[in-house]
Amino acid sequence: MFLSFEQVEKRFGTAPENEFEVFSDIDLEIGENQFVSILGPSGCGKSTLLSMVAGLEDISAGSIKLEGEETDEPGTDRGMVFQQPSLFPWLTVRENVMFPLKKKLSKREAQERADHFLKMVHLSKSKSSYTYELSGGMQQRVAIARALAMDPKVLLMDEPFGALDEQTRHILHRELLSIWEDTKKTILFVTHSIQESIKLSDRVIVMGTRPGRIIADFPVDIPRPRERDDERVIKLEKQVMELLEKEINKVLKEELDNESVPTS
Amino acid sequence: MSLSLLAKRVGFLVVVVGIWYVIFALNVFEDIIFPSPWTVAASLYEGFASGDLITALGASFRHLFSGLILAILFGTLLGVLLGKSREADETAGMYLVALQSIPSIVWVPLAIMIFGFSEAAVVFVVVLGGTFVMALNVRSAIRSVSPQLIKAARTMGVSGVSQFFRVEIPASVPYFMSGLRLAWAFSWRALMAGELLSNGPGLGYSLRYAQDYARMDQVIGIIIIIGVIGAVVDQVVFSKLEKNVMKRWGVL
Repeated sequence: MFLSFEQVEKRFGTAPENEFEVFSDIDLEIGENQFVSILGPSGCGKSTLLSMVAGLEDISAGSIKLEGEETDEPGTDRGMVFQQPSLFPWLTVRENVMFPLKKKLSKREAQERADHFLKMVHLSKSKSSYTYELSGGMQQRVAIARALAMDPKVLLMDEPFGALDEQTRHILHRELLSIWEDTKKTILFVTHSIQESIKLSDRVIVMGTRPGRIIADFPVDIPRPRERDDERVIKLEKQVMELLEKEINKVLKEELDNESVPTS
Repeated sequence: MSLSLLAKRVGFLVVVVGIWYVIFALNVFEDIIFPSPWTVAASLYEGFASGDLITALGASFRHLFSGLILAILFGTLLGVLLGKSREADETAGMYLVALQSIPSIVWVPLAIMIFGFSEAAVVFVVVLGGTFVMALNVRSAIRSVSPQLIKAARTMGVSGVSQFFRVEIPASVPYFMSGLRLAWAFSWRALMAGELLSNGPGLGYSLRYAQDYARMDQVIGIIIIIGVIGAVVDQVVFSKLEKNVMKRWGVL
């Protein structure tokens, strides 16, 4: 399989008394060129799982393999887009996109590649701007171009549009889909928005919480572009919603119970 | 600067000089301890025309620059060490704050005993004046690099030494600039303390020389020069530089 998770486990803390298990026994197989969303309530460990693929988080047990290679260190075969654009403010837009290419390509080749991807995200005109001159949506586009410029095997996206306004988010959804169709990158997309996951992906993986685990895996066979009022979309949304409600209620109940415990 | 702001500031200066002149004209104090604004202006003019003040200024700037450059160098190295190594910081960080709190004039006797009444003693005091504040700022600069930027760099295959040079150093520039400005301010003060007790040449030495000969006009004139230089360097060079950097780095 292209990207496979085997018995993946994540624990925080070393001493047994303060040890906290985020999830265990995550098994997942992801095929090449797939657009896969991981959906779940906060605390289910979906972002942690993605960071583990990126090599930013240690894997407590089990393994994650990309084309047979363990992902325990970060590498340019995996591009990551964070919720915060995480651009370098001392560089221009173009220099930001060239950042990962510095040692691999000549300056001219790097510039050409950067320009190519900036065109793809419709930012050709802003390539000499500095990041403080850009809106949030534009910054996130630069981050996407920067990740793509490394030509990674898989694009990891951690709630990339979570901080944007509704309007901008819709535009970026459309752009991301067209980029995906052009480049056919494998995309692993973490979100807490049911609508977003169904609108974009081929497959929605739903995670539950406490402990974190995969509770469902929906294929989405609805032709794109998917409209919000499409019956099939609405039906699937309902299905996912019901599943998630149980999980969210579980968290809420736990939090409320904790609150009623006297603190003395 | 807008025209009205300029007018306000010039107007204020005119009023201050006016009051000064009125007090002088009323003969409240003896002329020898309270010269008129014109006497002070004349002695300044004379100082520049004869070249005495120019020589003193040149010497002061020479001390300042050699001291400041060394302070920036040592301070940066020390700050990077303490910022990068928790071990080093836990061991020595506290003492840095203690050293920083020592007024620079306190170092003067020590400097004179080591270097004698020489220009080296003055430079030594300037170096001590700037190094610790620079180190403290560089330490904060290195520590405050956004972990998010480091994470992003790591996903792009940049880590270790190249991460330090390509991410941590440029990300530290805003704090580094604040460090520069403070190092300059502290070094400037240290310079005057050192020169006052030195055997010249230098602006501080000229000041004491004027005091020895009871030339209040020169004393006031030199104090004015010291104030003007401090303000101009801060406003024209460092504040502007810092503001530009802050804007570009998105800190403002």
